[in-house]
Amino acid sequence: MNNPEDMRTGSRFEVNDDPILNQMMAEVAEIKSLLFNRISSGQVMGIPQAWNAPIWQQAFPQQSQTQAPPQEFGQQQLGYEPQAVERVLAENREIKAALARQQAWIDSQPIRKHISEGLAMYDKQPLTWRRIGRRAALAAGAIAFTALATPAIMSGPPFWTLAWFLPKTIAASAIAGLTAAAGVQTVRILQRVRDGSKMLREKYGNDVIIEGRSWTLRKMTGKGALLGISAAGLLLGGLFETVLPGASGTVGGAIRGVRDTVWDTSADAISSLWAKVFAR
Amino acid sequence: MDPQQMMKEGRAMLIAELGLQNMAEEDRQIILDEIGSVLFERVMLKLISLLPEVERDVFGQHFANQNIDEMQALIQKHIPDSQAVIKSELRQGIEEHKRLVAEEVAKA
Repeated sequence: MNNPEDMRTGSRFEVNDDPILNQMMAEVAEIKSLLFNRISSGQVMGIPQAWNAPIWQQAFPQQSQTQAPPQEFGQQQLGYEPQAVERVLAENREIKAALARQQAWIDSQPIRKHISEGLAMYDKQPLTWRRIGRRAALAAGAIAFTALATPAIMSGPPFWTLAWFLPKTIAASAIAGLTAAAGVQTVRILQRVRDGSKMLREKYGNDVIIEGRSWTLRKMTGKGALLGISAAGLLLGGLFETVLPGASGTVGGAIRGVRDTVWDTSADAISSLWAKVFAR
Repeated sequence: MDPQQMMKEGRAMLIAELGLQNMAEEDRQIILDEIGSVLFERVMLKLISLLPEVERDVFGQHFANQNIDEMQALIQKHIPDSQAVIKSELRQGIEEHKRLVAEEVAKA
């Protein structure tokens, strides 16, 4: 494994010869499984399941798996009024249900087949972390360039100037959210994944990191298993990153630039577009 | 415009539009991310739907081959008003989301 940018993804392919990477991939796959069940189903997800997290089971071993902890526990440990908590949970349920319906509509659109067919060709080539990152950047770039790279909307330097782009950080809020959903065990997993990422940086240098992200592509194309680890990576707020070659003026640099500014999360991508096209 | 500031303003606008001000930040982050994904896919689908049938296959091939310039050129060639399309689709996606949330609330 000489070039980490060309490292194969581990979830579906032969085991990587790097034990650290294998361990990381296994743990991220576990996280992915937890998150996928939480978010991607059309049923009410995540919030009720949070009560089944190990932390609650440890506190209330005799409690029913489907019951929330007693109100007095919630008040003492979380500082929340039970009514307020239930209101927030109700908000979440309705919003998630609405999102699931929109996603179901998107998934049912026949036009998705065209992208799927293109990716079928792409899949014949070996999948590496680098290609996953490029795929995500490509999808983002096709939209972002269209929306942003016009004189009428843009102001300032060219879109792909590296001066625009900011260094990546792990999204602490996403990790906190994950902790609330999946309990203490996930915190340990996240810590080990971060430690593993740090080890890779120490081994290959600070400029070389591994990415898994393109969960939107997963839904666009229906290729769930292929990019499963990427989904977890993105939902964790960008735990890993990929380094794409090229200086600011090259195609690689442009792709990287798009990825860095637009594809941090899809919410950020839309936030950017939103601010541009709806600027007041 | 500073990109970080741009994202910050865009996020604040989205939060206001969607009425997420009172939600815990952790949950709001997840919701925003999901909404972002839905809106992004809607925009992508809309643009592809406006491409001629034969060009959609070409678009898919460019996608497979990571030809970002060709993808952009196709969009600009066949959808000259792509900016307006994106704006409109984003707005429709938000309104649809609000409508669906209202339906879910009515069910509860």
